[in-house]
Amino acid sequence: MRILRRLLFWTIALVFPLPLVITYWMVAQEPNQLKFDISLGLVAYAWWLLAIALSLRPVWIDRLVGLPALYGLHGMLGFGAVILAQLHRDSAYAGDRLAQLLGDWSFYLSLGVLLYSVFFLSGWVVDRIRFLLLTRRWAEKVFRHQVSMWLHRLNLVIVGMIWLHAHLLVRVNQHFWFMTLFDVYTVGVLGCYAWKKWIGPDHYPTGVVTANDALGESIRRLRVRLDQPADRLEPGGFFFLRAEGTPVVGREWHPFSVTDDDRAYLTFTIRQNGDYTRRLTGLTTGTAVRLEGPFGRFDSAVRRQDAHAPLALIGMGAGIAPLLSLAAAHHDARPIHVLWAVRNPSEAYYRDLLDDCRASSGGLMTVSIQVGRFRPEQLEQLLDQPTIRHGAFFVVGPSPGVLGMQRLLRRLGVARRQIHHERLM
Amino acid sequence: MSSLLKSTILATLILAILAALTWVNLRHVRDSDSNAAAPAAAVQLTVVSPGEAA
Repeated sequence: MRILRRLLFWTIALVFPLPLVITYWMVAQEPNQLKFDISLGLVAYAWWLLAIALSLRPVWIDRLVGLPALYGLHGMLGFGAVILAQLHRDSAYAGDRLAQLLGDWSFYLSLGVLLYSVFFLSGWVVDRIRFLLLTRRWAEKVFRHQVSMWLHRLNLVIVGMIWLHAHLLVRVNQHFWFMTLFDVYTVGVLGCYAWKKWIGPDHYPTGVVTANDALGESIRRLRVRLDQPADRLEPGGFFFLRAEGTPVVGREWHPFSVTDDDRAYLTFTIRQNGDYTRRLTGLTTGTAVRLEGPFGRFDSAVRRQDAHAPLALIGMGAGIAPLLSLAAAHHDARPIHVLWAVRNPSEAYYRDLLDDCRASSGGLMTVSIQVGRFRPEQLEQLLDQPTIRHGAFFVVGPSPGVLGMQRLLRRLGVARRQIHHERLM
Repeated sequence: MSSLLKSTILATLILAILAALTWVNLRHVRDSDSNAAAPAAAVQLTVVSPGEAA
């Protein structure tokens, strides 16, 4: 079912450019080969626009497939668009000098933005190669997340350049209805973008920071009192948070998982491994925050399981945060095994909470906390066969750790569809 | 600024941009029509039959 939904979601990439391409083929008089070459550019442009539209992370798409799948498609669209744009450049000819320049430079710019984003904003390559991960951490001292987000917004400049490129080409701009549709696509997506960035936040939940404590060497717990309870929040969910009216941190949005199931006071457990999260130390109580969300599909994944199917909640460090609320919500209804790997004994800061849950679970919940990662032989001992065969696994932690745990679980015989994960950047 | 006012400004802006772009697109069509007509007239003027040339 999850795969079907994802396939359905990916068909957006096929459907979205179709009206533009079909209209062009209906009105253009050029030879078919030339029409095909121009269509490559049209699909590339439509995909670039769709990638921008997806970056607005509509909540309904999160409910359908989840944000990781959304950002996966966002990245693949950018990748596909650059390839199609290159094929378009190779085959089509632009008669106008300025149009040619705009086409070429928008291609170089989009290639640059793509490579930059793959390195700094995605985990496709970097999470899998330790050397690159260390290089990125080092480079992030200069190319901070805020800088990366601003560079990512060059996508809008690229759209403007391609839009002008098309308007300057006589063999394209002479077709009134096609150009009208082309403009509707462009203005529609950019209008949605402006709405989301300018007007949307007015409707988001707001609150104030009521506590900001250190839980360990590099972990903070942030408590936020909401002005209105977050009724739509589900266990394991997360919000994008923005601090307002403070010079301590920038105004960009960052995702943080909610640790417990309180909907009036939200608790965020934050691992301070980046420039932004390190600065959160200086955030004082009383600071106003705005929240976008809630997002997250962990709870709906639990609800899709058989009523008594076991859950294995595997947290690494601060990755325990969303799993705590899942454990709290389901600990008395089905067998749950929480496995929490921490760096040192003092970082097992939620041990008491987990013990309370276990005590009230009527024997359904087991908790295993250990210093250092779980090894294959330990997992073999800790996880029983019913869990391995029919259980749902939720793995949350730093990206390399999550990828390693996924490989480990697969080797133990856990099917890919049984594993749900969240990678902390 | 209230959310309603912001929405109104954005909607007006989008409509104005679309109207301006439609006008630009219509101009493109008119220009391409007049360009298409011009070479045809030139060709007619230069057609000369072999008999007339002699």
